[in-house]
Amino acid sequence: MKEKTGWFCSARSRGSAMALLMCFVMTCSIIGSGITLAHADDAVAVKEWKIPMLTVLTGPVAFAGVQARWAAEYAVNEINAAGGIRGVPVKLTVYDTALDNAKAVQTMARVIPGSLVVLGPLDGRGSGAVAQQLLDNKILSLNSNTNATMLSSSKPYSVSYMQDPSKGNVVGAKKWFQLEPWIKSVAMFYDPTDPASKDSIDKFAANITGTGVKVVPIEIGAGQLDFGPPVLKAMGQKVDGYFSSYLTPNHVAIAKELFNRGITKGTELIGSMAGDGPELFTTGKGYLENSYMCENLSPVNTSPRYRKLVEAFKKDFKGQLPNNTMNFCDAVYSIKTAIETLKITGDPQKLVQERKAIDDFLYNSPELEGLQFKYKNVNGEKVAPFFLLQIKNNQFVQISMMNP
Amino acid sequence: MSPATLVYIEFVGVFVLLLWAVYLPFRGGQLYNGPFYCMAIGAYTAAYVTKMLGWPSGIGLLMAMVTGATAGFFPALAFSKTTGIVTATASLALIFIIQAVIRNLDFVGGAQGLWGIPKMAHLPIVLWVFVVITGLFVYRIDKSRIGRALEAMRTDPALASTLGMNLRWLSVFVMTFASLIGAVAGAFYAFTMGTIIAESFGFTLLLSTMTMLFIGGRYTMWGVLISAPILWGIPQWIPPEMASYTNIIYGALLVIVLVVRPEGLVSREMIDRLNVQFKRVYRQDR
Amino acid sequence: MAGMENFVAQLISGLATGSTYALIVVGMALLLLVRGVVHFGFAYIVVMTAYLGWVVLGLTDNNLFISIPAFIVIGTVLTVATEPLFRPLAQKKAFLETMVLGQGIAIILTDVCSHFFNYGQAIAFPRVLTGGGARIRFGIVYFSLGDIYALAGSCVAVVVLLYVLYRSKQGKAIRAMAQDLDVARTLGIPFKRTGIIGFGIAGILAGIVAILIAVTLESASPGMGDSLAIKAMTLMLFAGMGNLTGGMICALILGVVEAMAQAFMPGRWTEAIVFGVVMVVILVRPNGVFGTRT
Repeated sequence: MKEKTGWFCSARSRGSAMALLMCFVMTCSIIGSGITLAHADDAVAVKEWKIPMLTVLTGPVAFAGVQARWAAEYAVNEINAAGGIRGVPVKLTVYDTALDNAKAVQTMARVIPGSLVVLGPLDGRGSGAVAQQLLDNKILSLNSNTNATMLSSSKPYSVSYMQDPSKGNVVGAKKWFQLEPWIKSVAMFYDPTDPASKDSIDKFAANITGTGVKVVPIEIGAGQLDFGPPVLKAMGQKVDGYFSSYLTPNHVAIAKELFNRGITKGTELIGSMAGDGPELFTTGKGYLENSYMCENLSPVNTSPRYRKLVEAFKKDFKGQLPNNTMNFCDAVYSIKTAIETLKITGDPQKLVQERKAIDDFLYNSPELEGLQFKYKNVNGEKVAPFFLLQIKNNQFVQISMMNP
Repeated sequence: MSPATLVYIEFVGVFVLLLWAVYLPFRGGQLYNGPFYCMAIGAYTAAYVTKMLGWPSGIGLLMAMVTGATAGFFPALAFSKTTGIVTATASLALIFIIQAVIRNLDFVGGAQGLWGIPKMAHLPIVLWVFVVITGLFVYRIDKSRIGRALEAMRTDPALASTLGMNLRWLSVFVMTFASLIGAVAGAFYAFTMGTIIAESFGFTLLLSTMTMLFIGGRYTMWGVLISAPILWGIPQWIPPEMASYTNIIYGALLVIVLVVRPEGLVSREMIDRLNVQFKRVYRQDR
Repeated sequence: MAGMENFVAQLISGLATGSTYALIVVGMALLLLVRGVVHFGFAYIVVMTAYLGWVVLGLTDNNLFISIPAFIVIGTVLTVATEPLFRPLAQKKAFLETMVLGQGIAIILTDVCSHFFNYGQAIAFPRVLTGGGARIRFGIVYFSLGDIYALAGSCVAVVVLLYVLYRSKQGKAIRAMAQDLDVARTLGIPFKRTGIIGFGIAGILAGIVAILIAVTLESASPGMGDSLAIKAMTLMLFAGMGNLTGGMICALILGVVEAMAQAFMPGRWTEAIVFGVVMVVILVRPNGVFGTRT
């Protein structure tokens, strides 16, 4: 047997070789970690983006809350199918506040720790109730504080998920007056006990003065079931037009009462986005022909993204058209844009600064891509076009898209 | 302690106070809704005093007690003469009236509600100190002559009056005291929430409270200490998908309890047996 | 004379709504008489019946011959189903507790309606049932067909009910139990069976009311139970607990007052004023305006 010779044979040379190797490895690691440290700041530190959503699944506005949840889930599914945000999937957890402010506060206390941003509460009152918590934790919520007054209670930690409906009413009404110039006075039905309804009428009266059209407010009680009396009262005021900012069944009831009393042209009536439900075409059939509607999202918009959503929605909701809560889809995408642009990591150590970054980004945002339009958030308010629709042949027709 | 737990403790405290406020007149056989109407009054007083007038929360609490007791006294005079269903349903009117009044008072926010209520320092501690103090009062009343008089009034009013008790003034006292506690609950509610609106003090709250009282045990003061934390906690502990069915769970629990164990979870029999056990142990120690 | 026309039309409309309240009050009064039960959940059973009837209408393609009897059957089944729940309390004559049990049922039914039907939206009844608000002319007055159906229907229902209560054997048994439970039992009147029959009759009324709601209001929502129940309870008290005729009259008056009040009172105070008046009256006359016996 030949004796093995060579440099490795002696123990001493093996030792030095080992030492050299170790030095080499250590140096490489130091250089390597130095390189990775430089990029580690940006790497996503979580396995999934946990986004909580507070909505209303129980009670009188459950139908809106259920659709809001659907819209958010649709956006999340679409995002995850395309690879998630920065390569990491999104996990949406939906909570029910049941229109109870105490539950909203309790649920918000539960979801805030560890969250970067919150979706909801869906309802205006709930959004107001959690204001203090948003301020205390400096966390952004995309909620129903849709105008400056409502936004002020949690400024700057609220961003509205949809455009201000009272602005929409004014913009829509002005277009209505242009299209139907014979309207010189309008009866506006409103519910004095509902803050949103009251806000609508105040804004409306204030902003319409420039057009020379007179506004006659007609109060309706909160539990009103029979709309004959208020309609009669309105007709008694000898107005040319009628504006109802109500939920669909009430809007239909008002239309029916008007129709049965001789107001049949249709163009005298206009509704707001709260009244765009499917009943317009079932029980309302025939009573709403030629009537108008102000909208935040046009149900008959032709943009491809929106059409795709409508097809999916119709499958889950038996052929119905979706309502304005589809704006939550835009809201989810705006969060995605924020995370991507700011290179948010989700690292718990950086929670405070990342919350602030997201809030600053979205409170006064750059131009964002929505389902039906491009929009911006200005001081928390979603600034986007409004739509005027008309019902012709028992279907919606988009008449006009108006910039705010 | 996590913020969610703190908020939970605060809400449970408020509910316990409110429940005791409903429990006391009920001992006398009256299901009186005065505490709810005074809860609204207490909440708005405390909120107004601390936010609009800028005074400290302690003063807010005190003012809430004053307005609550006053506002509770006058209806109590009238309702002390009525019984049973009549009291329960007619006092419902108080709730609707106060809600309508609040919605029309623009200086406390009207229909928009009042937000930005300043916080009270050490709220959970102060609140639970009040709960313990109130509990002591309720315990003393329960065990005293007043408590026995109430029990007599509930079971046999005719007999009670022949025994020389002035039922009318007994009722007034108990109802006013209950309204006072309700107002205190309202003030603490306002401090916990930071925002208050008229709707919070309405029929929905009444139903939840009745549910908690009847499930917990309405003939003893201890039942609410179990039912309030459990019922308020249910939505927190069950998975969010199921949590939206909370109301069905509440309703079902209420129906089941009323059919199967009508006195509620903590019945008088149970308390008596616990007392006996306690005394036995106590005597053995000596 | 538009004013006069409208006034009469409103009056009829108010009477139609009032007759709906009247039947609910009668149903609750009946349950009170037969079992000493304050069935707070009765109005909610009515709403649930309306919802289930709407489902039947949808399944049978608006077939009225199937659906109308279906309403009645559903109402009866739902009401009788709650009877065993009340039995233990009824036997103990625990008055107040029955009201709270009713509230428990109310909570469940409201939540079921808002969760499982129409995605939480209000439901609307088809025109074939409601008459579509079509107006017919009678002299100078226009009124809606639906209101006429409703009024006619309630009158018939009440007449039949009174006949059953006063002429039939079962009716006599019910009235005997209402008079004095213990005496009735010693006389051999079966507690369980008479109770079930009483609940059954109330259930038929519930079905009829559900149809009336569909015809006059043309829609139903989960929150409707709350407002109907509170109105019915207050009416019962106002008229006098258990007073059938008194309850009916007061209900009709409330219907008319609600219809007329809109014209004269600001909406935001109406509820408070109505309740305030009721409260004062009850405090002054705790036995109700008409007293507590039929």
